[in-house]
Amino acid sequence: MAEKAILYDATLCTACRGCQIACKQWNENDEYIPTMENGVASNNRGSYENPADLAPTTWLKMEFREVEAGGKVRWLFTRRSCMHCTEAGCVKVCPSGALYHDAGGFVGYNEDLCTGCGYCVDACPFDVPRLEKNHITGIGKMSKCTFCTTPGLNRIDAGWEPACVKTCPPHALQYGDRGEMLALARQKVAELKAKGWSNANLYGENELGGLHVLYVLDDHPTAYGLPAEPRISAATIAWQDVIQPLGWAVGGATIVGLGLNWLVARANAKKEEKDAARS
Amino acid sequence: MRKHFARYTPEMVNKITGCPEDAFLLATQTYAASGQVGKAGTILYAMGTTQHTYGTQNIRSYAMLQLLLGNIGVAGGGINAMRGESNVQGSTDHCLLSHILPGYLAVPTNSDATLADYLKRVTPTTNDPNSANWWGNYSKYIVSLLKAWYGNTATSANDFGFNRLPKVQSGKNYTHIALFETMAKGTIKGLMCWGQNPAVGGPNANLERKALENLDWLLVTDIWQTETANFWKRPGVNPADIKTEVFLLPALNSFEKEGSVTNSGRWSQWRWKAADGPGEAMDDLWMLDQIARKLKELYSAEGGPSAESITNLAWDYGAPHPDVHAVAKEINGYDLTTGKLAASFGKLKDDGTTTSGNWLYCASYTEDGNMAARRDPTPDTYNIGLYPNWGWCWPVNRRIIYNRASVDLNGEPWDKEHPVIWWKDGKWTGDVPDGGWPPIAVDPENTKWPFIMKPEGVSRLFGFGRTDGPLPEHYEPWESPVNNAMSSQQINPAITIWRPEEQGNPDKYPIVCSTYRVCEHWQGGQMTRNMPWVIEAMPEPFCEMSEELAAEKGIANGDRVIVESKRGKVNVVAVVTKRFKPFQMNGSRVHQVGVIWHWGYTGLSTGDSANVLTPHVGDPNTTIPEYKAFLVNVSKA
Repeated sequence: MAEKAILYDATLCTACRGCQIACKQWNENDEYIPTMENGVASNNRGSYENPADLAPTTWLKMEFREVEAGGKVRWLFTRRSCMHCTEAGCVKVCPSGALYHDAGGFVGYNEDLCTGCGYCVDACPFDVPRLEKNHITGIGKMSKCTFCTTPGLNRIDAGWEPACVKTCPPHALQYGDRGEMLALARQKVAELKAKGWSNANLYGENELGGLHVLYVLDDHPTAYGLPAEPRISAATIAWQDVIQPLGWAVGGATIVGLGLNWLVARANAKKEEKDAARS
Repeated sequence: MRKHFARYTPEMVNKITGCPEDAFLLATQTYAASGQVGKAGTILYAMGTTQHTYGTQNIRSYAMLQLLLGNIGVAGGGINAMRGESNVQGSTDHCLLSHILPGYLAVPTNSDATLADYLKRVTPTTNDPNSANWWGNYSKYIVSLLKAWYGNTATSANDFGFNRLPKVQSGKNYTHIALFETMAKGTIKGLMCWGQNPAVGGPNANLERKALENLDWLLVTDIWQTETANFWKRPGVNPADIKTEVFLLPALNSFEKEGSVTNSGRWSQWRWKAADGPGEAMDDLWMLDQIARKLKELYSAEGGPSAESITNLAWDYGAPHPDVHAVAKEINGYDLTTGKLAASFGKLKDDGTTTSGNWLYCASYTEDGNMAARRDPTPDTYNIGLYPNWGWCWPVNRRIIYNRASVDLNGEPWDKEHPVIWWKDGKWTGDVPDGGWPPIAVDPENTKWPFIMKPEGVSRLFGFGRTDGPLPEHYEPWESPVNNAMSSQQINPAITIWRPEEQGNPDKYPIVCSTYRVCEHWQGGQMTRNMPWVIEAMPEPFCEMSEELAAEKGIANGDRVIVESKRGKVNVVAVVTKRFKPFQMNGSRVHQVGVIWHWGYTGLSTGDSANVLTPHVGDPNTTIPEYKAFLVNVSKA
């Protein structure tokens, strides 16, 4: 399979959120939808956005931002979901092989192999994976967008586009070979620049070795809530490239020791993030 | 006209609307630039334009603007209503409204003693030999309609059954607001509420819910339980006090039945059944068929006033389930002499030898088949996006009406890159021309003027026949925080005010409120407030307000607030947003808030209905309610 990608053109998006709902519907993530019937009311929190955050039952969420500059108000919409990175922090740290790169280049997920360790949650520079522990068994499972490749619900193997792309009325979401999507995106960015959108840019071409969700934006990525330079922490790289192979070589006792080492590194990484957020 | 509108200077527009002069000029100059050859401009509008006590004049102003700019009949021109439901156009074509019969034929009034009286009143005339005056064919369409409805019992001897049609009282209002006012007085005793939820969607919802209590019986047809069907156990009432007998018929939704849907561009597109419905739910055609059969049986056995209106109906669409194709064919019509389906309305006659349930749809279902079911995406001759073999468009598959305005006197397109029609080698090419006569300069004797539905044959800048005058004029809404800057006449003088005591005073209610919808929910919410995915996406009703107003009122984003009008109040979530800004209007600062209206007390997701706030006033021509501008106050709950 050629490398695939989803192209999200923020300048075409109307924030109807059909993608958010189609994602839940196709992936059968409606088990815990908070309605009165299920005993939990869902609230408006002073926003068009809901639910509040990505969750085990919300793999894709549309975000709304109001930006005011020069007396003009703009309402910006962003698609928030797994970016399917080439240099994927989650894949690097996943000790069980539950997270892996699929033939199309995106990050697949085998839930059966997930041990619930949560390393991926910390390793993701986009804060996407969500971990939930089963209250009865105590077993944790991570959740995130699988690029519609969940076994039994695999649209990609069937030759279809992902559910979010399928439902998008203004074709703000497109799906195809990554090379073609890049060409479309570059062309659109050029058109936007020609129309005076000087900050127009293509996000995802080179970030983290290339994302498999590409963004056409008419303004700087940070205006859309995207990190300008996403990167994987040093601890995450060390885990995969040094600690994990070493661990397998040296054996059990060492793994315990290195596990402690990991925890220290993880704490440091968190501190780094907080420092970065403050700056 | 020039003198009338010269009064609306940019400065005056700024005073009235608060729109900055430079922004107004930028908008007008940008749009006016569409008025040249090779360019086109279209106006898309929805309820924000119409739901005012001057809504009709708002639309009139669009029509005048488009005519002046030459944006009528051309590719990319026109005035396009964004319909709130997929089949609003179709239901209007087929007489959903109280003043028309199918095909926009006038409803008979009590002064129309005979068919001839009716035709004399409604048929326009002209002395201009170059005017097609298409409505001169009125008699053919009404007689063909009567023949479709009353079959063999409609003869020239009995005026084709004309007097069996219900007649309205001249000058009496039969629209939504007036009906509920009449119901409130106890005059109306029964109501069939078909896929409509006035307990949520009607203006002044508390009044309308209360009015339902005066009914002996209420029939609600819907795919879910609705607030209207449950009005007798709504919050705050004792069900034992309400004597209305309520019937709820479970209906199929549009994907569970077959039939046509007509879009805003007048394309009738056939849809096929995709799935079986749940339980005992049935389609509305079946329900209507059952009701009509039972009524015929009862009137035949027991008689009654105007019994013939029912007993003589030609009603045979098949059994046990009526055939929707039989209905579609009846709408198209037949040539009774040959027994074949009528080819087009040009062949309809007023001698009783043709039928047509809706002359505008004649040619939609012919001996060649069901035209609405066509799915051929072949482009049109000039590739301007007409797709003439996809579905079917009234009238006679003409995709752009008034298209003769797209050519010059010789039939040459103004815009040769995007021609709609073109006179070539002695005939019209492209779209079906709006009148097939030769161009004006080519054959001055036999040509007809291009606006064939008007007796004068030309477009109408002067709005003849409007209740509130021929030219649009500014009035303030019924409730307004400011004085009319244009004149001493504060509000549209032609509107009916049923309840003067329910008008809010700006001293007590200083904030302008509009109600509107969000894309996650559908109208009165019957469909979407029972869908968990959609409820989660948009869980509660809310009130949007500016950061400035929120600061004045001590309201934080996400707080619960009370929005109150003279008529009622709601408790909803505050959405504080940069998208709302205070207006500067004629020196005063005016705040506006917006409340979404889909909610009620029935279904999986419940919440307060914004329509308890809205007034029972409407446009003088249509009585569309003034949902878009009324007065409230807002406070932290």
